[in-house]
Amino acid sequence: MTKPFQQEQADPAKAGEALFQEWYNKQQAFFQEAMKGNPQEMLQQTPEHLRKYMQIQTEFTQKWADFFKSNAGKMGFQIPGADSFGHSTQFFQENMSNWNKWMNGGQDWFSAQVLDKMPFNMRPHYTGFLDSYNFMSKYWEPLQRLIKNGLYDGDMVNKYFGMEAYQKLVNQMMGFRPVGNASEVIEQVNKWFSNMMSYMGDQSGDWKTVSDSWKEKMESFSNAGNMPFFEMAAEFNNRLRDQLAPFNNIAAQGRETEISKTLQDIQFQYIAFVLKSAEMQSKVYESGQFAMPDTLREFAEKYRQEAEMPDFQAFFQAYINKLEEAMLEVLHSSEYSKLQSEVSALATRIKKDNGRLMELMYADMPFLTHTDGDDIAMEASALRTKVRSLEHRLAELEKAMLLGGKPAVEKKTPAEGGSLKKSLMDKIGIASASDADDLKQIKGVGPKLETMLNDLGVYTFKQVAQMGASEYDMIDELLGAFQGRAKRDNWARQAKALLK
Amino acid sequence: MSTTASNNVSDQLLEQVNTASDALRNINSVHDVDVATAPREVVWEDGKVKLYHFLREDKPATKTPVLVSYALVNRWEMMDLQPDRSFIRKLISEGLDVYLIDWGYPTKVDRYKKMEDYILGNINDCVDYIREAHGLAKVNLLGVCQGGTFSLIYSALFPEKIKNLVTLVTPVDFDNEEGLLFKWAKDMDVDAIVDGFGGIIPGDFLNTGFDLLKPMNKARKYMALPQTMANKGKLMNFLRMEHWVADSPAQAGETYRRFIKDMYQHNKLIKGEFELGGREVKLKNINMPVLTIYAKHDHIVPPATTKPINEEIGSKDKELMEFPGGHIGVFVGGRSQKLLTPAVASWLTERD
Repeated sequence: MTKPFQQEQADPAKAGEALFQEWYNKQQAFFQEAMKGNPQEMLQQTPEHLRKYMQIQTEFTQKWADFFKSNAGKMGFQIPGADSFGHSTQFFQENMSNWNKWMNGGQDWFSAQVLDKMPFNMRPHYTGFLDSYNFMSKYWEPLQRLIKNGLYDGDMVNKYFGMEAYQKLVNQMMGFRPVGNASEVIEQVNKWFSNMMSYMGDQSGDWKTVSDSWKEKMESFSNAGNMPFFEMAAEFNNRLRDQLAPFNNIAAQGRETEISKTLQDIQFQYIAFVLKSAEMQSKVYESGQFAMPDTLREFAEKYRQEAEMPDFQAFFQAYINKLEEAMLEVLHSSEYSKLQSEVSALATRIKKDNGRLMELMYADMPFLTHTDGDDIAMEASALRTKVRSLEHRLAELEKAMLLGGKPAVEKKTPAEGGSLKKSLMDKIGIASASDADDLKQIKGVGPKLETMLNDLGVYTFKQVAQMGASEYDMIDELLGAFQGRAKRDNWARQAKALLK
Repeated sequence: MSTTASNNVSDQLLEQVNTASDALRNINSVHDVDVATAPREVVWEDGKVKLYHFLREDKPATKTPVLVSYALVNRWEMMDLQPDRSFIRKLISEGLDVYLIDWGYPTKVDRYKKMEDYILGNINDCVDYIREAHGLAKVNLLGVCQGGTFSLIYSALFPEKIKNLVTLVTPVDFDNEEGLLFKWAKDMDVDAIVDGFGGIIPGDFLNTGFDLLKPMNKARKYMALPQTMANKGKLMNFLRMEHWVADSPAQAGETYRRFIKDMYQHNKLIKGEFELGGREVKLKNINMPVLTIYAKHDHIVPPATTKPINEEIGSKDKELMEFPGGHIGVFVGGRSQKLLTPAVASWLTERD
């Protein structure tokens, strides 16, 4: 079916261009054809389309191989993939973008038609996966090129071995995003501090000592080459907060003061939280920075020895195993444990203060607040204890009043109807939801009645077929509604007929 | 994504596409996820707490029913997740008469619900109900994880009401360095957290902690998702597990505070310093037969935290059993159905 490309042209570059053009046109035509119809149809035809697509590729791979054989020497062509043909990179880029358009269309359809129809509350998990998977696919594309090209693409190496890359990856896979980038955080925090400083600067001479001592420490640490930024910033944050405390006692006591004080607490706690959180996350990211290069090295070695493209899944598994090992080491450390407890304590305190702020601001509104709910909960708790002690005393009293083995007080068991239901089940047998028949096929049984029967434990025709007059009476009593239906419509006869 | 052995790229791509279309077809046919399908009825309730009695097709082989006390953390449905791997169903088929306490979903009104309310209140009420309904002086108790710790406390305070005690992956010695949860709990500022959350600890907070124990598990699970989805049976089981993981009830603040402080931070129970409702809890007062089961590769409740039960109790008839699996495998693993549940059932039947 495929003919070797034999036509020789004076200018091999032109011949190559002509071949690429032919290939490009054929693929364009294919994509146009394939993208007709709605996404659902498209996806259904995917296996067939893929078969056709691979046929085109196979055909042209052969043509290209033959072309290369005849013309490589003439072009002084040595390294595969090098950009000797001005158009080749452009060609690849253009077609990749077509392919991406098609794949993205499919993914959008998947989101709208499948994910949004997930029947229960696990969507956050699932959407997270799709985001991660998307992210990973985009991430691996250049990586595969990187491996193929022998790990000497400078930009790629920088992109994958940098801290930013790890932060992004770990963020995606672990699903938390409170702190983006350590250097960004440092910048923001410094800005916040200098704002606070300039705001307070005009007030009293004490501020000078705080800012001077901060500058001094920064200098001494950076000279020593050791800058524990997070510890220092946290300490500075605390000192600022303490310096401001006296200001709050000056004005008259009242709700406004409490509101402004709470706002201030929230600000300082938030900065402290951001700092601690960044410190905690940096520890985790730093631990994982060798997972990627180690995995790459391992698989590059395998590739060199076996000359086989690495399996994507094996690569990914190896990578996440290494990453997890490194992360667990950090998670087991006592520094991490202390940081984690500080971060969670700060976060919950901020949450609480936010709530408190809301309560203060809306104190005159006719809402039940958290504090009110608290009062109710405390009452409930006291009542529980009281009821328990009363039950205990009652039990003692009953024991004392016991005469001749008969209890003096008739005890009513809760969930009445339990014994009636038991008798019903004893007669008709037990079934479960997974055995359920469509009881609505019985004339007189609608969806509501079917649900009520299910709640009683009646699911199958087999059960209904065994009902008699006394069971009909039991059903009437247990349901409380639809009285007389079972007898009137002779459910058992219908059920027997439906069983055939 | 590729499962084919072929190195041919088009084969691999075709395999992926076939997997993807099978997956789509399966997902489209899922309308709901059924968990906990073993038939049961509510025989007693107190507020949110319900006592279930599992229904049987025939009479039980044993006279003494067993009351299952699950943890407050996560939901009991783990024990009846899939119909073919249900711990509960297997116990029933082995002839046991099974009751189970459902703690419900705590809300703000439960913020001050104490451990006394759970153990001296709910568990005691359920035990008394079963004793009366069956006309027995004693019942069997099966405690799971934190529910097992509660069972130990209860059995120490009311040994006259418990015939046999089974504890499943139950921590008693909380002074442990290999379990990550145990390490973190020691440094936890539990007062700030309980007060910060307004007394009701959201299930998500606990879930985040559990997720961090194996940080990359989510990525692994989702990486294998296409193949899982392509097989209807695997897909349903995956969804059932996901449903259970997401279904994490809130924790009543006071009970949570007490449990973290008295157990994880001060390890009072095994030291004999724990008191409930003013009564001292001495593990030596446990004198009935006790079966203690632990999972060999349990990273949530390491074996070292469970094994000491066998030393601390006063029982003469006691047994320690190792299960070759993990914390969750104890309930939903295939080996559980073959090894564990029959062993539990026969141990209880012998001592009926």
